[in-house]
Amino acid sequence: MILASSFLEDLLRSVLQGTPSGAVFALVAIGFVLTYKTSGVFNLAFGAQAYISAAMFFKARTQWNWSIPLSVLVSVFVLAPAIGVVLERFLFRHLRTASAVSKLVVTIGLSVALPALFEIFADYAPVAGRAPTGIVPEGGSVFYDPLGVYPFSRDELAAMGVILAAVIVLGAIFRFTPVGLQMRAVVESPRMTELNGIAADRVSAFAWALSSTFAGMAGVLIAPIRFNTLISTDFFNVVFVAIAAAAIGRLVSLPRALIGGIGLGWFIAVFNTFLPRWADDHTWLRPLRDNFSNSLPFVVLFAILVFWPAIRRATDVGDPLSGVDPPPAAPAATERHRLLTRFTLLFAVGFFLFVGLTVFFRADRSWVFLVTSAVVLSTVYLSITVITGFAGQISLCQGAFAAIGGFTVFQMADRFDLSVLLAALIGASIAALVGAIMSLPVLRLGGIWLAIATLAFAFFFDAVLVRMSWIGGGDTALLQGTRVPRPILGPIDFGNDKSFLALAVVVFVITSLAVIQLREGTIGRTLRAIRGSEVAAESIGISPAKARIAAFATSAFIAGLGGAMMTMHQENVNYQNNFSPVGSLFWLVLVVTLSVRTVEGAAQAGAAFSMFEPLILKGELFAWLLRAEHRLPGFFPISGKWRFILFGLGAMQFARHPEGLLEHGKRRATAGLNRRLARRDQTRLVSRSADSGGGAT
Amino acid sequence: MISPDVLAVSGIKKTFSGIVALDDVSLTVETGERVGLIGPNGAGKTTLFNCLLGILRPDAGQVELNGVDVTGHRVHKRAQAGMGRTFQRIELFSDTTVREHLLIAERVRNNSGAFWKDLLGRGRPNAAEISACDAVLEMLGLGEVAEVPIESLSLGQGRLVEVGRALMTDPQILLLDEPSSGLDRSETNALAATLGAIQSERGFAILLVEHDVELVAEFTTRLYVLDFGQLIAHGPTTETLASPAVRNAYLGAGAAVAGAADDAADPPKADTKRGLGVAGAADGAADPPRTDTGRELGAGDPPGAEPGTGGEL
Repeated sequence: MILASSFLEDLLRSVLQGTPSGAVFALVAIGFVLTYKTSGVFNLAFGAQAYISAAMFFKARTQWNWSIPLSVLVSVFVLAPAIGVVLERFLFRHLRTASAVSKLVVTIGLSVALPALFEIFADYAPVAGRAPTGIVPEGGSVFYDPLGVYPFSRDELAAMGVILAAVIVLGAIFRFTPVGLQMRAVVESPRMTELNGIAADRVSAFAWALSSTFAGMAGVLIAPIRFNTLISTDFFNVVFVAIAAAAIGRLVSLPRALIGGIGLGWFIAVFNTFLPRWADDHTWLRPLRDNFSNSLPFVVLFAILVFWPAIRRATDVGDPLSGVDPPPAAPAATERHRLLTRFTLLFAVGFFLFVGLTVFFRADRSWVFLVTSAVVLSTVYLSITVITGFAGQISLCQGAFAAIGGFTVFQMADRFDLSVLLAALIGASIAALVGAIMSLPVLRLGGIWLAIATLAFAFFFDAVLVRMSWIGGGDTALLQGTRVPRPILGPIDFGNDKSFLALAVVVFVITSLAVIQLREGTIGRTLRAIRGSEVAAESIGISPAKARIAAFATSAFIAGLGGAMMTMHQENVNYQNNFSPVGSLFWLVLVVTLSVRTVEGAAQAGAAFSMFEPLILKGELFAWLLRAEHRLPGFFPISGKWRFILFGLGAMQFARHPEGLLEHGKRRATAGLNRRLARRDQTRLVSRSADSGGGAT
Repeated sequence: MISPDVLAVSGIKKTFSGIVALDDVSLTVETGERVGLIGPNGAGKTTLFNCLLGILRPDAGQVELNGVDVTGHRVHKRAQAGMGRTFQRIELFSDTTVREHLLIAERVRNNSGAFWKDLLGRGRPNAAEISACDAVLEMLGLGEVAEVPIESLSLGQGRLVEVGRALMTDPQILLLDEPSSGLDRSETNALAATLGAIQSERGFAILLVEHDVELVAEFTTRLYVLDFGQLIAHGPTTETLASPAVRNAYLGAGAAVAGAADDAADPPKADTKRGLGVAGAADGAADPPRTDTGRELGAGDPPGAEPGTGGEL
């Protein structure tokens, strides 16, 4: 009897405890659904927007000592909607007919760029150990306990009150105002709505302002309840829960998103209350207990994606009139004039000889290190070339695959004293297997859902698997680090940095050749067909699921191999620095911005990641050009955050030029040169009537 | 037991949340036959089409392909078993050339692709594959655009590429989903002529789902008429179209009006069209054993139309 009542009391307590967070999740989920409904954008940058408002509020309160109402006004009701309107006006309005996946890539870019942009312009730096303050005075220290079970803090009560009001206002807008009806119409078809005399642009701008305000509100409200410090990555988790909540409503139902958010808040709280008790009885649950509470949102999201029937049936929001667009311009000729090919080849050989010789004979240790990093990273990026460039799937867990390669090398070397090169191959194979298994349940979802599932997997790996002793090393790793030796092959000791660089180059070249062969072979053609039109590919007997599993496994193998090389290079796994989920978001953004379909693109992205900051932002290149370090102008060094901003914003062009910025420029230049050379050939042909071979492939 | 029917559909039933879209629909297509399926908007043509292809699962009923029950098979399995198709809104592989469309289909058909072959650089198309594709491209009159990126083709050419792609899978039956949509009369005639010529050479069957009654009348020998999810008539095309039940229930006066509008729209082509139409009607009326006539018609008609067709393409 007593047992039962204490159980009920605990249950009630955890439900009450989960309500404030649940309310915030609901708010984020509603804002999320609102943007998706009105502009078809699956806004992964929502967390970044929440972070900006929260950080703005925090700064206004603590550094400028503004009053609470003024801080709220500026951060939530001015800054947040302004960001929303700007994003809509200058970005998403022009992308309305783009595919859902390319819009997703744009928002991933934004989620990388926006926090860095804010931190630079608002001169904000996250301060460790300084808890965020709420919208009521002494919000964290005054408690009220109406039921005698769980004491609500003032912050929590305020959050629930504000959210209740926000939901009521939103409901009223949708139900009683013409703009609510128009918003619903715009979702169906912006063009159709415009034909009916409604300015779709205005409606969608309004929706963006509204949802952005919600994001800001959620950020300001949740910061004091959930976080100890105010850093941007925390807010990513909030979006995660919100995606899960929104997914319950298949992304289109606002009431269901509301219920889903609150339900998830309760579920997480209940789980966190009871899991430790089960774990006391069952030892195998202990590692779960220690880490599961962080990962619950991702597990829930993954489970929803796999099992929730509504999502299986859901299709991307498509504009019925989108087909009336003229077809995209034909890609620039893939054939190059033979002179151009020769010239390119000559230039490439010369360039690499120059760089190679310089690095090998002139460079100091730090430059050798940077160049090796670039080469190794390029190998990892080839995995993105395969999965995103060839298969057209957005995978956000390449960091996890790479980490599997790295951790395998660490474990094999640590426990069995195995040769690290062999361990690297084993690690890559394990990564391939994991990739295939992970993709299996979610393959049929395709598009954005598959991308979200990979993100959920990445965060799950980060929160739970890495902490397991047989993967990330557990306590040993905490004490001694995850050390990895350099390989030794016969007489060659790769402990020497320059010989390791040679090894890295060899691995990269072999992988590149394999990738090129795959692209030209059956797999590459099959994937291209599926990317072009999945229904048509099926109609000629291609199994998209099989092809995608192959793509995932291949990509994971390459990532695992690259990850293993990376750990050998740094002689340590360095999980947090190298393979964190947010880091792998930036990888994707980088490769997609430069050129996602070519091997050169991967190499350029690798070089950009490791050398953009020292070469450009720190002014080394400038100094070298000026031949004097002391004449460096005052604006160097530029903050390294610009890297995130430039490439993050660069991802915007993905919707227009999915081939990437560099590739786009190259295609245009090639086309121009081809034309000139062809004209020259023509005149020669006329004057000499000699034979002319035309283009060489 | 070997069934002469390449496609045999029996008792297909499909409901969408209580609304009956298809009710006990059965149809057969014999080897090398041209069969039409018409019906007003909302009759269930698309639903039936999707059930045949495996895009939708019927609630009840059976789909047999060459005597094999494929009801539970996925789309690509049916395609491998010999079911080719084209799309109403054309579906092509963007960013690839015309020839590559056929090459990939050829590779899937002879199933010679393998991961290790790709890795060893043996995944590129070989001479035999390329010549097989070029033969089909020539047949379709697409030889000159083989290297052209797919985006720069016209709609009519795009539809031919779809046909060629489907042909490379060596289909037993080709399901055509409203091939005339988006094409004008002369383009439609050209497409029909090319299709007819290839069909009589290769001997596969065709199931044509169409709005354009005229095309159906010219092209098919047998016809199924669908309305409100039920087959309301089937039989030889000309007779079925002329039957009062179909005229009243479906065509009504609308057909006559549409025909007149077409005539008015492009006068120069009216002659050929009327000529063909009359010929078809005459043949149909004159010879009672219609299937045979149909084949003769199919084989005999295109040569007459082809010179003009060639010029169009």
